[in-house]
Amino acid sequence: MRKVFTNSILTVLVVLVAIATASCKKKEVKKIAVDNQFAVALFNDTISLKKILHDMDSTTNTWLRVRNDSIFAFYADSVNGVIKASDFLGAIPNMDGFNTVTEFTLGGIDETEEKDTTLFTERFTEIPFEYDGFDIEEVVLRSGTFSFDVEVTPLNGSTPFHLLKQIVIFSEQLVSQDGVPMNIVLDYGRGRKSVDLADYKIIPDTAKTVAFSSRITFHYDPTIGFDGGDYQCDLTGSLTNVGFKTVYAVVTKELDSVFNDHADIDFGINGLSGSAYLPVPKIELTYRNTFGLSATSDVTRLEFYNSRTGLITDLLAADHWEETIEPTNGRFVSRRIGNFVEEIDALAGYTRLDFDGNVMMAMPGDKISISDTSTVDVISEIEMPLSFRISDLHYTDTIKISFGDDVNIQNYLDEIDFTIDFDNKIPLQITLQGLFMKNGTVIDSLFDNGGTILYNEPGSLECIVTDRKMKNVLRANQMLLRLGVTTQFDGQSQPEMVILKESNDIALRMKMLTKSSEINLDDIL
Amino acid sequence: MKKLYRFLIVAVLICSSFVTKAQNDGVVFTLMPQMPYSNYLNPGIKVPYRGIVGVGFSNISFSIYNSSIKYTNIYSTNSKGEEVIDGMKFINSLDENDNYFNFNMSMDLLNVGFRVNKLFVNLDWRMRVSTDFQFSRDFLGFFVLGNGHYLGDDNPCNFNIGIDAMAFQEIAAGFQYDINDHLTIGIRPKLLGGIANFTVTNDNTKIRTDADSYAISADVDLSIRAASVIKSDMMRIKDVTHLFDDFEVSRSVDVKENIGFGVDFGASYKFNDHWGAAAGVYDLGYIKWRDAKVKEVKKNNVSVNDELFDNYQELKNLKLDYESMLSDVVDAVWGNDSLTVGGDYKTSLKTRIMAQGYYELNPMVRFTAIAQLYKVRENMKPAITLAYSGSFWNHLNLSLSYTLSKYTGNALGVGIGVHAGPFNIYAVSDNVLAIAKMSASTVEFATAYKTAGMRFGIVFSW
Repeated sequence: MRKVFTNSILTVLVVLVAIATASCKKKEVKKIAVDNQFAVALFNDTISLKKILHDMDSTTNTWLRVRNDSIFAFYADSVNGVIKASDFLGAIPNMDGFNTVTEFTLGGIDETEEKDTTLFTERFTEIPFEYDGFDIEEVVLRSGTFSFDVEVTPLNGSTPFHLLKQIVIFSEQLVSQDGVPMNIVLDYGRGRKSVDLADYKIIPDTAKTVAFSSRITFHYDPTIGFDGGDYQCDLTGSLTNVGFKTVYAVVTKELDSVFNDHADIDFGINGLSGSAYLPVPKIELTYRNTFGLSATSDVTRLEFYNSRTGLITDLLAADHWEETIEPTNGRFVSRRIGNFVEEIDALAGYTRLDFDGNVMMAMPGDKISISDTSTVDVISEIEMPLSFRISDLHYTDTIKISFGDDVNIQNYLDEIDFTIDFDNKIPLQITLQGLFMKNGTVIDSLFDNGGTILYNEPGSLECIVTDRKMKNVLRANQMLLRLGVTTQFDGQSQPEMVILKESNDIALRMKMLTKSSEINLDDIL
Repeated sequence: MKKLYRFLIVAVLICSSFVTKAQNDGVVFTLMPQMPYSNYLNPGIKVPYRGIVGVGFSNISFSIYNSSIKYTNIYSTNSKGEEVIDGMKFINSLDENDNYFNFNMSMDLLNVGFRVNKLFVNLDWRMRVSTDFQFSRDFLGFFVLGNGHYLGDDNPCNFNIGIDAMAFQEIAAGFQYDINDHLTIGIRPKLLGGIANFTVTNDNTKIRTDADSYAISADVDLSIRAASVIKSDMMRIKDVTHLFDDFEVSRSVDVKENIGFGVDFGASYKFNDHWGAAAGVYDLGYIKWRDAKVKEVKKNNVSVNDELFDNYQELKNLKLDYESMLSDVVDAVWGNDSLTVGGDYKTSLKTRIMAQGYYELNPMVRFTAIAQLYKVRENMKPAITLAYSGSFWNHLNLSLSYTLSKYTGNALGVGIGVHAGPFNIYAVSDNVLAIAKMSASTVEFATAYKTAGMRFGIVFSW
């Protein structure tokens, strides 16, 4: 009995262990049923328009300005010496053509006493001094050198000429700063004589010439005597390095320039359609005109032209636009340039800018004075409010996309719900859509019901990426991106002209909810 | 030698990092008729020898316990008839708050006992490791089901965890006295030396996901306490890797640092040759940990993630800075990672109360019923064990037990021992079915049963 019982107990134990062991077949589990949902806040911020603009272009502080909360784009530049008188007054050619050759014959002198004889020659040479369109009254020289020399040479075996003592050259048209006519004394045989003409005035005569006269003094010495003979007198001179300081003149004929021209233009805007009316920039011109004359421009035509449609947009608010830059006596003067239309359609596909007009600088009889330091300095500032009236503005672009073969999130995600909650205080209504394409054929879209961000009306955009959409996205090789903007808000029949303000902002909250129901372990391990 | 000490200490700390709570090492091995350690849990149960000696490997036990993650709750069949891991079923099977993993280990380094007439005295030096990890249903639910299942302020995720890891040594002097032929009483005072303790209490942390924005915030209620025999100025958790830099046992270890006291006591009564009963209390005591390093975090509405992309630029570039993201969360929840020097604190032993009765037909057939109450956290959990044990040919000892417990799960235990003169060898499993699952998949093996334990040893007796 005892042995039987012992065996029985042992048998039960062995059977229990065997059953337990045999019941433990290994399971081939390939999938995990999860039904999980992960909710992730992606982004939550209120972004000001100024920040958006700055993020788009970090140089906004150089072109963006805020005034009374309104945002303006501006461009400012200053150029000193847009026109400089020194450019065209400073360079008068040197005049070396001052060369008078005279042959003369003198008989012998048989005198016993010393004697001086002076020979006066009026206007022995004349230099023309005239400019077309101007009647020069007076020119003050910044620089210049007048030099001359005289040499008498015996001819035909004549004895040397010892009679010449002194030559004086003078001109009533070359006057010193003190009003004294130029008077140069050359003692013969002492070499070339030069005179610095700085601050001399040239006062041309009525014949528009500068004339030079001379006084030549001869001296007879009985101890030397003079046999007479044939001689040649060379009087050479030059006027070099002449620079004008100030020119006083009377205009003798109109100084004007007529232009009829056009320039091809390209705004570089591709993929945009619709219309966007922008205000024409305000131009503030600050200038200083130290010329002694004014300039008037008269623009009679300023038009954008679309060569494809024939559309012409006149930029002038009136028949013509006339601007005059008067002399300012050294002061800066500011002026707002107007007479433009208030707004233009920036997206009308213009290809050309046509402009006609003329520039009138002076009329006959106008007296002018030009200094070589005369300039026109300009500070210009162009300012345009970020303001527009947009209807059906659409930007379209096709982007190549490729998520590659290694993306297999569809193996463990059933659905991803992207939600963008917005509260848009920027006065724009924006529509977004992305169309996924495979070889040019649209196979899916980003938003099933389109995506519109309304102005001043909180709302949400939802992008539900289902398993089907996920597969389509992954096999797409292009995305057609469409971005639409309008200022025609709900309930309005016409687009509204809006002004962007610094306080405009958009509150964006983006979130994502992923959903999984079953994960295939073979796909992720 | 220095390296050996270092290795041992590291090993103990690593062991203590496993998590535990319940003191669930089985009782069945004490039922084997010729077991020298019959008084292991109840010092009032008579030791049937005049003397015993066990050194090093006389009594080594490992037990693991998993209260909630059960194999049958992980798998299900889908609509296609395929076997799948069912996340929802698994999470729903968990207890709302009390889910535990624990790991216990004990090893008698020296156990010497001798009888003087009616008095049996034994001295025992034992190393013990008790680690415990408790988690709430939502703690795993957050990761398995996702925070999308916890949307709304009124539907928070109770992200609660608890860690209690302790390693200590126990020097006990047991005294057992036969009052008469029927009644034996015993008591075993214990001097405890704490080696290391690490406690994390996180009972009231809630993670909320806003239903509108999906922003995640948390109410954090976290407490950490740590103490060890190692003297260290380490005040930052991340510096733990430098704990053993310039480590010297004589300078860096103070075994007198964390002292505790405990006691086991009980009595057994033999009605006649067939019937008997016993009752006892095991592990009543505490350890006082000194120079604790502590961290208390109690914050409400801490932002964990209110946006993945911090700014418009990151969003535009779809660029995430994961490092700073994680760092921000840690900073927000945790603050700086410095610990502070806290006061002393006590941890109690996992006390167990047992009452048992048996009927012995003959040495080959004894049936025992044991009722137990385990201390789990602040509650007492009941268990009933029915066991058969018998001795054959005066050499072979067998035991078979079945334990019913809502807390530990039902378990079939098997034990075998050989007594050959002074030589005793034994091996006991508290749940033999778990061992039978060794050929199954890892997941199945780890989760088929709530509990698994193994005890074995070689001890000499006369």
